[in-house]
Amino acid sequence: MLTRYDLFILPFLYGFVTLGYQILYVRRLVSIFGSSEIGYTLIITIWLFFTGLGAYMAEKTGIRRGSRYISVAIYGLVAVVFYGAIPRLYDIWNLQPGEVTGLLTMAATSVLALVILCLFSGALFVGIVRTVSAHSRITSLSFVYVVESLGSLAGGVALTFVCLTLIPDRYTALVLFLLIVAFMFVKMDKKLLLMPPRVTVGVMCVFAGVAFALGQFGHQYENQEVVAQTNTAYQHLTLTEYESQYTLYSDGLSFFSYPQVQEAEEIHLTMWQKEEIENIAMIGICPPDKIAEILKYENVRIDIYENDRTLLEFLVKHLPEPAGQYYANPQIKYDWGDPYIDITKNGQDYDFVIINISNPTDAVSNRYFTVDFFEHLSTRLPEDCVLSFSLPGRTHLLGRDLQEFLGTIYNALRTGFNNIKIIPGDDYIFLASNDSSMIDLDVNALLAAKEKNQIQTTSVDSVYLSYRLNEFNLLKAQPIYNNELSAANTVSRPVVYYYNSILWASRFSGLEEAVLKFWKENKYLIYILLFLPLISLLNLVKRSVHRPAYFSICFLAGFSGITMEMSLLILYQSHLGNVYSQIGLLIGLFMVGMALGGALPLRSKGTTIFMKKWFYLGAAIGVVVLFGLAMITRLEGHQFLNYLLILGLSFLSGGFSGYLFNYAAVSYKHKYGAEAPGRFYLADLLGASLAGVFISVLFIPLIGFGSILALFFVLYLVYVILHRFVIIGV
Amino acid sequence: MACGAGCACLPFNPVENGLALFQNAYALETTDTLSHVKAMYYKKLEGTAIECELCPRHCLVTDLERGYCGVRENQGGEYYTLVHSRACAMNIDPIEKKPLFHFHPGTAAFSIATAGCNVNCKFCQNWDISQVRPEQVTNVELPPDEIVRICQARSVPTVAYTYSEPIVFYEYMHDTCVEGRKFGIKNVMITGGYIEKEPLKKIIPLMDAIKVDLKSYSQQYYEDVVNGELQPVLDALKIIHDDGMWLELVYLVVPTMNDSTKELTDLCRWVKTNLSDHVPIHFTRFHPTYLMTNLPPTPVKTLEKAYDIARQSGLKFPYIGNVPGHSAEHTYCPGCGELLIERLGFRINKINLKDGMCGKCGTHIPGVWS
Ligand code: SF4
Repeated sequence: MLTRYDLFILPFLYGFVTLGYQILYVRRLVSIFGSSEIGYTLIITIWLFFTGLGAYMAEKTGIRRGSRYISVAIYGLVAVVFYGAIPRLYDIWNLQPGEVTGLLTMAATSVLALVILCLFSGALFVGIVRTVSAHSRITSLSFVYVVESLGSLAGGVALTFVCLTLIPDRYTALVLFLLIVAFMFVKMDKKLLLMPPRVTVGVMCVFAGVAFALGQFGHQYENQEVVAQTNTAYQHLTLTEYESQYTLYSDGLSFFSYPQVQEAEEIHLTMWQKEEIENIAMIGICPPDKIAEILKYENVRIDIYENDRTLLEFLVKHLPEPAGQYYANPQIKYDWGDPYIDITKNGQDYDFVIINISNPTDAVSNRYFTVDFFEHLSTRLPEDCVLSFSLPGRTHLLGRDLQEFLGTIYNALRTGFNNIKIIPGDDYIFLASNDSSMIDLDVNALLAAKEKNQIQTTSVDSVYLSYRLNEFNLLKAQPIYNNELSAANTVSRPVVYYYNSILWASRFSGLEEAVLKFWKENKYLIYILLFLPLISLLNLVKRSVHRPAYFSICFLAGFSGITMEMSLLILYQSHLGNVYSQIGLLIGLFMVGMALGGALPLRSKGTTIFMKKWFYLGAAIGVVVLFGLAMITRLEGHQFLNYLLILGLSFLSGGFSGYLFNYAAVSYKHKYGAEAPGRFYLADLLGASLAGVFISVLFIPLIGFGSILALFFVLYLVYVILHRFVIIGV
Repeated sequence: MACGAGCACLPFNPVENGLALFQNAYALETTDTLSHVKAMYYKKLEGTAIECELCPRHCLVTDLERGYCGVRENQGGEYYTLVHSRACAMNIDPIEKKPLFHFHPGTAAFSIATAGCNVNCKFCQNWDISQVRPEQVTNVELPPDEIVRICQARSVPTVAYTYSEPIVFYEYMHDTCVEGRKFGIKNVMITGGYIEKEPLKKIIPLMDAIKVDLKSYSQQYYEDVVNGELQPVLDALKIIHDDGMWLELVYLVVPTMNDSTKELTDLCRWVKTNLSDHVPIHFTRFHPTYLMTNLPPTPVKTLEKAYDIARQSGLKFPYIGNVPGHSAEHTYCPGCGELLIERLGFRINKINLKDGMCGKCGTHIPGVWS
């Protein structure tokens, strides 16, 4: 007989270990794929989907009571072995060191790595629900759901703040594995094990050891020496060395390499625009060679706005001299706050502002290429200040996608600046000012400025400038200037994500690109998707089909939960900067909300009066969430209020999801006298996984945060109608 | 792909850039139609199938299908090139950008390309035109006589077939060479060298110089990174050299992948034994791009290692490319060590050659100088 304590421990440990593995797997896979919005979304989606499927299959195949222990054993074993073997999965695709991966490879690798683990994980959930059910009279699905949320919260906090910052990931994997082993022995029925306990544990340890050894080899840095690795509050950094060439990787993607052979041409093309240069602002830390180029100008003062202090410490410590000397030059002043906010608040006048962020691939970097930011800068800086940045181009072809990508940023830039020049090339250099006499791309004028400043360069010379600034080359930018079709990139509609995804996908098989383009060309389908829940609901109501209504609410719980979680994370990054250090708090509040929201219906007795009470509560939470979400986009500039609002919403939206799930579970049990954990869990996770894909890849980039509001409104309506007319009944 | 030099070759792209300018000056037109010109090398198989005999892939192509390169199509049992006179990139480049260092230094080349390539290098600098079908880029209708007209109008002495892989637009290149010759225009081919012997032998007499990108000296590398084969390229090199054509080699040094001392030594030995110690070999710096963005750029140390190996192996004209200001960009006399051609990037600072001979000791310097 399991005690009440055991009944709590089972789902708590399940939540703890599951979330722990989820974090580990995401990090592991991302470190190989390279971090990208699509990469994250894909892994989470696959995780959620297969876990749901595992639960469903377990329910359908009628998992035996005792086999949960076998599930536990296999779960731990599979998890740690696959974790260790992830880099080897790469061999299947014959990928080379340093090679980037396409969507299909990412998806296939993730499925291979996760499928067995997730199926077992889902089955285990059902096993735990059954176990609790056999030992108590409460609605076990709801109880497990609530306690599992608390376990996940603990797992998230422990991994984010303790394990991963203090010990390497592979040790953490082992710790989780041992927890699983301990879990097996809490109250296991030894007769139900596949093998005698000692043999089981022995075999698992061997596997874990093999995985541990395998896990040390990653293809991506093969043959390079890994000089140092660290987790900062914002990113995972790796510095490699190969024949005295140092390369810095941030979250698995190459950030910069040192030394650079070619001088940073955009630095000189910017600096030669003014006769007297005193103050320069640089947003984001840059490679040491770039600083060296700026320091060639006498008496300049450089303010570097960067929020990751550990990054500088890491670079100074591990890069060979003279890199450290460049960074420590007394002409440089560092501002360690949020660059977006600090530069717009700082009263310093600048001659040049250089945005040193290579590509707007996520919400944080996107902020610096938006209408919002350019307008702030424009009002804050002197008229003759020159803003410059460069974005990845293509050597030859300004294809339609690249044109639209650069066009969205140009259209944003021109809301703040009226004099803009673009220099096409491998990198497209953007120069902007509000003084129409600034920005001269005449080769002779530039060479005169070079002469006057007595700048020595080997690559930025007369031949190079004539080549780069010749009429043919400059004319390549014409379609960007004329691009009226691309929407201006803004914080609340970061359309640049979408074009980035297309550009990224175009390197791989045509399928990935075609899928993404399909949605842009058939944007109306996204609006149909928005209203799909309503359409299917009407069908349910019309046919008076009750049972699926409960699962639909669960689907809604998953869908709205992930929608909100992702939206809030992106909103946080867009309005308040890097979320890395706050992600634990945001997800933690979401989980607490989920546990509390999920606990509320547990007290329901299933009578109509109670039903109605919960109906009003759910409706109220929905209204508050909706209103709060609308408010965030209106509170631009009110940092603290926004901060509170986002935290509050995280809690509330977690509560809303938890409440929805358990409301459906409790009322289903009251009505049908039995539980359906597999189907409920599948519905929940299916909703969550679909939301992951659609929200981050399509809804937000293509139709903006407004679409999230609309979507939420529709979901809310669906909830109200389902609840009122199907479950309570008219 | 052929521009494996990894240089920042920036062709004039007719799609969205200086088209208006070019159109005004030369009355060029973009076109949505593909060409319908019979391919020169294929054999008919049973039914309507054909076998392409242009490159060692020997694609077997059924009716309405295309070969691997995507620019040749079987239409009813006849094989057609779809890109004849369909240029998707063009520019006037210094000849040093190709890079051809022993071929009329300091002159310009009108450089053209069509879509398509017969291999798929994971480090391709020009993947946006080489790894697509002609429908995916905008093309200018640029027939051979138009190319000649542009060269004459802008006093450009040479046409370079480059950027993507000219082998896949063989018929276009062939006809342009023939047309150009009539007016004294020179032709240079910048290729990966993955071509069958017969078409190669036919095109050589129409060329003035050929630069071949030897991607590696390892079949495994060709399989894993290039999706091609080493031996046919080595065979092509021998044919080009034995036919007396001016040949320069580029070896794009991709860090950790094709830069081992053994591979570089074997390569240099092979060049010396099978070609000549006078064949210039450019070890160029890789810049992370296309599918290989997570590799570092080639360390200068690695390039210097390759340069030293080449020198020790007895090769007379090794160079380091894509490192502006490096002393190994210059040409030195193998006889007395005198600096003969001083370069800085694409710029020629000084030439100390007299009638193709060292200005100091009179040693003959192989190349095409006048
Ligand atoms: S030229 Fe093209 S079609 Fe012909 S064999 Fe080569 S890849 Fe195939």
